[in-house]
Amino acid sequence: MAMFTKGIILEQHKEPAFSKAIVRFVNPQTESLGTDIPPLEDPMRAEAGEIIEIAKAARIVDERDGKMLYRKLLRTQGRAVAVIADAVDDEPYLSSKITPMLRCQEAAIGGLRLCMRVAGTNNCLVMVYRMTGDLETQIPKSIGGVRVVRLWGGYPAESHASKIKVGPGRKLTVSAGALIHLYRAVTEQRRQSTAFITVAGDCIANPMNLEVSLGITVMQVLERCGMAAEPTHVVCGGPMTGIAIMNAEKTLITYTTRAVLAFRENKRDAHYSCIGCGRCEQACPVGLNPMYIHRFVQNSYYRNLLPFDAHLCTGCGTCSYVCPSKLWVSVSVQKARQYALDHFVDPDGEVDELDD
Amino acid sequence: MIEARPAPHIRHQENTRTVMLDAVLVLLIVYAMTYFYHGPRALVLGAWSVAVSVATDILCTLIAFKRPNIRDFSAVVTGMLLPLMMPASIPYSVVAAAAVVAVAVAKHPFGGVGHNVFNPAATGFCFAAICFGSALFEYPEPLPADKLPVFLGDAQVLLGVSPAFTLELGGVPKFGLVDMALGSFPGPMGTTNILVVLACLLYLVFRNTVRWEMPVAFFATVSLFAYCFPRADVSRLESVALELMSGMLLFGGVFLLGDPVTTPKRDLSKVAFGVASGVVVMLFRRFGNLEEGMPFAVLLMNATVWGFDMLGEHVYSVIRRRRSEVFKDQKVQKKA
Repeated sequence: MAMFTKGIILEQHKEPAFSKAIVRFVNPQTESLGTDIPPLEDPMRAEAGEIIEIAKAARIVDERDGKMLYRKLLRTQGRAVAVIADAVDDEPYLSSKITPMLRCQEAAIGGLRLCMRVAGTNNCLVMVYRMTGDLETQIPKSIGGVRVVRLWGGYPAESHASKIKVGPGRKLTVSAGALIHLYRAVTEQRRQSTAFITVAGDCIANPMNLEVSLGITVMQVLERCGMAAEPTHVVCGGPMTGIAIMNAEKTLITYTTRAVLAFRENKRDAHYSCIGCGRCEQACPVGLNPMYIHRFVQNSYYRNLLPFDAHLCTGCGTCSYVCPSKLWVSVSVQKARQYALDHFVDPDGEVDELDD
Repeated sequence: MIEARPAPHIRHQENTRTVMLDAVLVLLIVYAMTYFYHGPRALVLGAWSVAVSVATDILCTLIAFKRPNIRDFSAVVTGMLLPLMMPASIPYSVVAAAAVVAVAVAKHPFGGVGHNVFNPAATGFCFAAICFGSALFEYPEPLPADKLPVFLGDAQVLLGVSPAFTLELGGVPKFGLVDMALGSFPGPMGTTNILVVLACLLYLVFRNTVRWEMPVAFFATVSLFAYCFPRADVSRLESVALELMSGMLLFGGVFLLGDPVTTPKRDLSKVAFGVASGVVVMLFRRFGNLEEGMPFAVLLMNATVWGFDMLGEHVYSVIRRRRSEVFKDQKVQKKA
């Protein structure tokens, strides 16, 4: 039944980028920027307050949710039950969290231990996505002595990440890239000046994982990896949730860019109308009814959307992915979600601390 | 040139055409069986029906000032379904009339593909059953296949009595259960091939074109009804087998109820809908005067799909609001 679905299984396409070493593509001028904080005597014995100060001075952003790392640390200082390193790459093509976790193990685990000092807990684990398909590199059972927990099921894996049992209380979830930047900031007094990204897609000649300086244009990144064909759309972010960009020469790599993907699409199969097959309802991870929401939005029946609970939408894009008529279902659901949040949901209990 | 577009940027390989082609593929297998039992006339009937439906479809699309798109095979599926529900000796004019009604009355006035409320094939059959009743319920004996010429003219056709008609009169059909499973008995030309239709159902279920909940709920309800209230003077289990294999019940359960457009979308609604359809069909059979209740029951049930969908939606609404972590304690209601 639809409520018990474990998401949809996607073809991963992670090779060959996943098995290659991370290539550095950095601007030496920005890379040498420091944090203006004197070096610590023993970095691994730093106090919680010191670590938070360094994270603030190094301007580290968690690419998982786009929040400043020091704010997340402040919120959970001394009262988290577990620290989780997020290396979940559930979207196809992406391996920009798991690859740094494996290739820069020492820094990532060092950053994890620093986060544990701040959170005041000894409980930690690495969360990875159990990828289906034949990978050339196996994900080990423990990374640097830290237990690895595999998320089973299909995309979106985030919807069953909450099933990981670490006891009652707050969890601090930090992505692999932010952990590495935190470790570098504490040990080498370096500001975050780079981001880990995956460059892939069917138009890329040489797919790979890059560590690129912030502020480099998408065009430079694409030229670094080579183009095999002229793309019809270039995407910043994952293939399921990313943003298509208009001008690759004026778009920059930012803190939260996780990937640059270039696709070429065959347009012959467009323009069907909905046949009501109900696949979107079977695929929706929160059990919405995207087909009726789409139909209501198309006909502007926004006022009757109440029983469809569009405000629960997580924006994963699964409904559009499975649609055999190639309709933009998720766009309609997003419109309905905005309407439902504005008109149906009480704003009193506004929650913004979802991830802690 | 690079273009802007919303996410997601990758799509599943399956499209409307492959979904429809699944149905076309299994119907072709059914046609192979009808060729075996009734000769080339069955294939000519199918081709004629498909041609008329597709032509009507294109015409209706042009009248609505839309661009015809024959790449979705919905009209082809409707056209292929229609003759399979009729005897092999049906005149071409009846098939053509049914196909025109199916596409021009049941499908396009509601907005074309995906918007029709009533199943086009069932509508076409019901129209033909009401207007040309006698021709529609005279079934020729299957095998040997060379009996039916492509153009009947004045040819003599040996007619047989279908089990559905015998059951309607309260008698016991004279055919063995194995003969019935293999399809060697008089009846609508596609619907008698019980085992082939079951194999089609399996294929469609494994291709995820038809969900398993609806056929299972439907056939279970029909079986239970037949077990409790046998129509003929036979044992209860035999009554179940006879009810399932006679007439259009199995074929309709697979192809008419398997139509995604005119059935509920949610699994829970599908189960409820299957149970309700089963009860309605068996009531039609028990208290109706016509030997084929199935298409009429399908049409009746099609009108209630919206209700079943809303029922399922309200049930799921309770579950998913409870499961949601973010909005668990939020009040969701229309603001003044």
